[in-house]
Amino acid sequence: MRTRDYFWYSFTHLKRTKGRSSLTVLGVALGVMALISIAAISTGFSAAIRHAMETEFNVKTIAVVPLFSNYTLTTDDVERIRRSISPQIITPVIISPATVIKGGVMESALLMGANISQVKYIWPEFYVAELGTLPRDEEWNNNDTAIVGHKLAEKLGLKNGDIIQVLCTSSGRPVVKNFTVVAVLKYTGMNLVGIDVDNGVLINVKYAKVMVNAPSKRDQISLILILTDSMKSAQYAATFIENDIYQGQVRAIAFAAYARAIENIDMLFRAMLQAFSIIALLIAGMGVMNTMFTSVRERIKEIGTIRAVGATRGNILLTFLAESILIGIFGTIAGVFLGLGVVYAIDKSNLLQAAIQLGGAIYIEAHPILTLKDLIISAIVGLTTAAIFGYWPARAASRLEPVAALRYE
Amino acid sequence: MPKVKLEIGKDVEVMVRCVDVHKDYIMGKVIVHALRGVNLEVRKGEFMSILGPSGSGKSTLLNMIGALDRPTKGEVWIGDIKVSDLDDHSRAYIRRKLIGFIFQAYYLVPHLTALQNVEIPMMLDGVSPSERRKKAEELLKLVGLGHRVHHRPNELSGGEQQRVAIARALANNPVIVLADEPTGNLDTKTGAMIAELMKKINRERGVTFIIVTHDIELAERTDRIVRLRDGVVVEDTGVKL
Repeated sequence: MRTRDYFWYSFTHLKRTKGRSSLTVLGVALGVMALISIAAISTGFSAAIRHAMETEFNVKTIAVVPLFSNYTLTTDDVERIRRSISPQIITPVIISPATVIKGGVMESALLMGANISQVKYIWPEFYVAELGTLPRDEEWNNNDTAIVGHKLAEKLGLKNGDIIQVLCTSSGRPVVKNFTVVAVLKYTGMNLVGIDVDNGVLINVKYAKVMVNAPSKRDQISLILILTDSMKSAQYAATFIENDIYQGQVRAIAFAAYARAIENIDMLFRAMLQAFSIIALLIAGMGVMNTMFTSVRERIKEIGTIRAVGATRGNILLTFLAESILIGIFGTIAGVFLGLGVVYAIDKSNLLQAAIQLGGAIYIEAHPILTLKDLIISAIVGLTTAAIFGYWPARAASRLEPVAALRYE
Repeated sequence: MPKVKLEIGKDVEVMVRCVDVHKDYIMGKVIVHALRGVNLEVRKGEFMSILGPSGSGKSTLLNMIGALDRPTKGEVWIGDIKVSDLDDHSRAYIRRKLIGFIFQAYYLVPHLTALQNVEIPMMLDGVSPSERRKKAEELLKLVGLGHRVHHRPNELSGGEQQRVAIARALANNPVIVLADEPTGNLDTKTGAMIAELMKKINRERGVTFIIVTHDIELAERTDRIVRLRDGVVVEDTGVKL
């Protein structure tokens, strides 16, 4: 029997059972669609994670914080580390809870004393002015100016030019100082090592020291931000600072560690999506198997007849297998189009961006990315699934004895 | 192509030979002896019938001759080929190449047209689509259905369906046609027409016909009647001259 005849014979049968066959084809199509869209989501998400790590996280960054409450970091430590590892940028940061008052309205906020140009250099994505402009170093260091986070500005209705009062507690005594808002930052969603940018009020280190630290401990700082030249250097430097310079008294957080954690989440996410794909395919495969078993049961007499007029077991097996393969081909073609449609719809609806905000720590703008390789693999997997699940019914059909099949009622 | 010899010699005179054929079926704990030592010879070109009541073993015997089933004991020969010893694959080859089947319930494939049904044995034999289509059209004309080639079985009457089945049985130029109650589902007039058609084909083409029936009128239209009862041959009229 010729190969094309197997497909011709099976196709004539599929045409006669359009309703049932269409539903089975739809099952395969949905499986392939799931594969394609999941592959695209997964690839897009991974790409977004990589982008976020490289730009927003800045994996070349280290934050040094005291590990025990009895150890305090001071501006001397900045120099000490600078001498040891020669980083690109090293800058002290003071953080403290504060209250910001505007027009009689008070809001809790995070006071952050830092050098704006250096912090912006480390995290360029986070320090972008929505209102006003970020000041140059000389303006920043010598003026009572403040930059406020997006949420804080929203709560207090702040805009550049406004005067705010910042209230802190230093050694149990309240300290209040007026600042002029020079810029409001764009929303970041960033909250790493205690720096809640969106609820923060940023002032220069000099004033922060006065407002936060006791007079006897004016040089005390909360953390040191360091920028190295690579992710590898950051990891190496973090270990060196922790173990060699401070013998375990400080914690040097390499942001690469966060990146690795995110990578693990990404891997988990991929594994989960792949599991969904497998489930979708298994369901599609079971659909094919069910349809083909039903077909075999309904066509026992036909099988007996064909065997009587000279078909071998192999002919019967291949005839039924051809039918599964045809279902697989039609389902795969439909699934590819459905998959492309779903990927397009997800892309246009921005569904993915809303779905993967990692607890406000980082906002990832992901778009589904469909590669030709993923498309081809999905199609092959869909087709193979139909063929594999169609094999058992085909085998059952081929094992029928002709006399028993002809007598079947 | 099977390795054993499956071609019939040109000088074969005895087309079917059954030697002490037994067939037992196990039905639960009971053994049913469907055939109890049948001996039968059918010569080339005969138009004969096997007559017997229901349960006499006539269909079982036909299945043995048609290489659909194997005897529990004994030998079945088609020409000079001992089919009772052949494996499943070789028996399929014998059925495809040497034997044509006609069934009481026609057993046409419902999703194929009359033409496509006739093409099936040729398709199984690897004949090209154009060649088998031409042959199928000729055969359908031969059985008087040249105008119904594109109709599906459910669009044909019982008599027409049986004529399609006859055309299908002739598709690969068989040496034997085995008909199991071919008029059983038809009215008397149509049954007679089918019987005449089979006789005509036998005369014109020299194909050996073995018709299994319980209908005495149909049996009497054949040249020889072998009566079967309880799995044994009880009477053989021999060929009427």
